[in-house]
Amino acid sequence: MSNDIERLLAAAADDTDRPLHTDLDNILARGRRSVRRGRIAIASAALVSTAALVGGVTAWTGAVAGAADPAGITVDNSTGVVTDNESGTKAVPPPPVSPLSDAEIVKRCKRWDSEALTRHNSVGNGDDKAGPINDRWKVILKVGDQTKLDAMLMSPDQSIVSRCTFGSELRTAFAMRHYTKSSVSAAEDADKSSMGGQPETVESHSRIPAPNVARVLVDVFGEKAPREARVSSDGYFSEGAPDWIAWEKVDPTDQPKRVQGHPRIQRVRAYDAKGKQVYEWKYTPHR
Amino acid sequence: MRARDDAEFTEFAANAIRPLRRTAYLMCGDWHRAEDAAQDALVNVYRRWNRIERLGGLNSYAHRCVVTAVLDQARKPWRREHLDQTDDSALVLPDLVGGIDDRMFVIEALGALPPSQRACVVLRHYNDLSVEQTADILGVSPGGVKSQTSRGLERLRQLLAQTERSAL
Repeated sequence: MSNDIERLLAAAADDTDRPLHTDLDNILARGRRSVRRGRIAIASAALVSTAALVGGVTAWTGAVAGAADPAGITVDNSTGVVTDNESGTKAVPPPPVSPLSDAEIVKRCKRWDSEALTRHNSVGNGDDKAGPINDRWKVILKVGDQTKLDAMLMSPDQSIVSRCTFGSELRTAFAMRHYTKSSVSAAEDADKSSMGGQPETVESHSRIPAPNVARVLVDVFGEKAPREARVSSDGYFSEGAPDWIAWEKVDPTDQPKRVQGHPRIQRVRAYDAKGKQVYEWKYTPHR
Repeated sequence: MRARDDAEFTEFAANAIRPLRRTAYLMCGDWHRAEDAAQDALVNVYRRWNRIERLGGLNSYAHRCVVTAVLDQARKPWRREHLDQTDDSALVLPDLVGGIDDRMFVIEALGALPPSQRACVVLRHYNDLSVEQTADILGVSPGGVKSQTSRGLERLRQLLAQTERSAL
């Protein structure tokens, strides 16, 4: 039916009188160039993609590593000043290590620890078998200067930490003895749920109950900036001996609050070496 | 590409260049453009030489390339400007013996068809490709090829009949 069309088309496309001007070598050369350009384009695209990927991952990793943990701290490596990321305030530097020798500390603390031991036993803490402090006790932390001292001594059997604190001018002092293990037996646990079986060293804010503690911030009642505490390798810490005279000056008219039992330490936060928070305790009224 | 592949391609190109040029000529009505389109098609075939299925696929792919090349040429602005201008040297030489060149009428009639109908008519009735092959080359459904071919043939007959009447 369409043979006539096919015949006409074949006749119209007759190129017997049309010489071919195409050089096949030229087509080959164009083809090779085209293939080469395609390969270069693919390689370039792969290179750019890889570079973009690597750059993106690097930037992301850097951003993640460099981003300040909102619950953490930032340490200025040149000055050592710690900034609390949460509030943006700079922490008060940690108290200095006391210049007193360990023997001198034992000597000074003996009397006060003896009183504390008597108190301890008088309230029925018959488990305190460590006895009074002597030269065999190890000073695990000592902070202060010529006028103040806050020292912690560990008993040889490591069951008791005696904390010995001298206030202003080294005139006023007291000592407390704390169990390093759980302070209550399982039977007593139900009655003393507020203690929660915590070692007294934790309850008394002498030790952070978490591993790898590098820095500790302590919020003290009446102070705007947190204090950085000095930390021992076992997580024992001290924000510095309280200045009793200054403490009285915080707010002399605020007696009712203190009567109600507002604690001096309001908040304790601990961080690992990277500045990540690993522990937090916060005072909550009516607890 | 390896030397052996180059030799195979050269052999294929030598055999395919004229048929491709003729197909392109029916599509565009210009021998120069047809030759350019055939060359472009062969360059594209070379680029995919190792990825084309040699049995059956090679011819289809070459035709697809030549049709695409012709349509791409027509879309270029600098080509479009000269679309309606007749290049005397490019057209078939006048039949000095007969006076009237039927071939020129056919080319002009083909040129009056829409590109899709023209492509269907050429591929089906000049290249003897099946409906499926034509559909594959043009990227349309077989039903579309059938309808486009039918309309193209009908229109082509009308145009040729008019040309014959006016020639008498």
